[in-house]
Amino acid sequence: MTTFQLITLPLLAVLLSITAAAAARRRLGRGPATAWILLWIASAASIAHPDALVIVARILGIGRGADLVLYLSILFMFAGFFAVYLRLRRLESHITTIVRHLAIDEADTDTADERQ
Amino acid sequence: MTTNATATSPRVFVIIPAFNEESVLPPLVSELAGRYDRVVVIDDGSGDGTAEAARRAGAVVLRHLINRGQGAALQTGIEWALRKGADVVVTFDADGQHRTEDVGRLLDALDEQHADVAIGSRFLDLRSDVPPLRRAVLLAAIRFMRLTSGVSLTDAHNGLRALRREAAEKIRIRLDRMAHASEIVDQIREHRLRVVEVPVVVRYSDYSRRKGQSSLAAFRIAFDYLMQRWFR
Repeated sequence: MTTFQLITLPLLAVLLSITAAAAARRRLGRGPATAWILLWIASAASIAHPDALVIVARILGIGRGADLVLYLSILFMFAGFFAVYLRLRRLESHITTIVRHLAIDEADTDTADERQ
Repeated sequence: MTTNATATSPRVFVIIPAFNEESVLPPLVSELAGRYDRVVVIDDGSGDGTAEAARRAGAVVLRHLINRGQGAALQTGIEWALRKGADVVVTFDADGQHRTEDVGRLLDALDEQHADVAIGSRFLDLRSDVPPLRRAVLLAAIRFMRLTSGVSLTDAHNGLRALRREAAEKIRIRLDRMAHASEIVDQIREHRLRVVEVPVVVRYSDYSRRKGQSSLAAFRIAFDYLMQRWFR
């Protein structure tokens, strides 16, 4: 086993158990939990057997295993950005709803005073 | 404020979204307040005395605690106007671009042409002196809208509009920033509202140009609009 494997594999094992524990305590939804666990297992598998990663890369028409990892990482990053963008937009619209509610409430109080 | 409204004269609410407009707002508000039932200024998180200035000039002020954008402010104003029994909701820009006398034209058009919505257009005649770059951007935006929503208007990005209550109830602005103009047009089509365009004059002053959108903002606006259409 290489030094790299000695460092990363236990780390991935820890991440995997943290994820599993969070899922068991329902801190993490079933979908995200599955996605994270698959990611940890795939990472561990490709670190433990780099040759297998090269075979997968070849099948996909990418020469090197490292390139495959790079491309996938970038892809996931963009997907992540997009998910964050959508969530941010939802958050913004919630803020607007609250601000609007406060504005209308305050004006209702003001105009009620006016009539007295 | 007209208090002797009969059953036949509709209650007209003019709503003005404003962000740091204390210097131009008072004359505008008092002029409109003299003619229509209510002037509603939505102070969109201004840091100056916009709210106080508007109130003194005779407006009802709705205050957004933080800036949420013109679309958000319009929706707030529309909701409040509907709650207070408006029959017609007029939207009006705070920066002095619109002429108060054009409001009457929109209201007449609603009546005479039995329309649900009347929208001002600066391109129906040659009275508005639109700067060349702004003209190019607006015309591109109109083509873009024709492409995306199939509605053909000559000037869809005009802040001066009049909506009958039934129309205002159906329209729900979700785009908080500037893309709401296209969103409103989309919803007009979606709800099959009868829309009429009315020639109005848009005045470009140094102030309005400084306060208005940069022409480059068109990209941001198109992005906001498309994302809303594609992703809920």
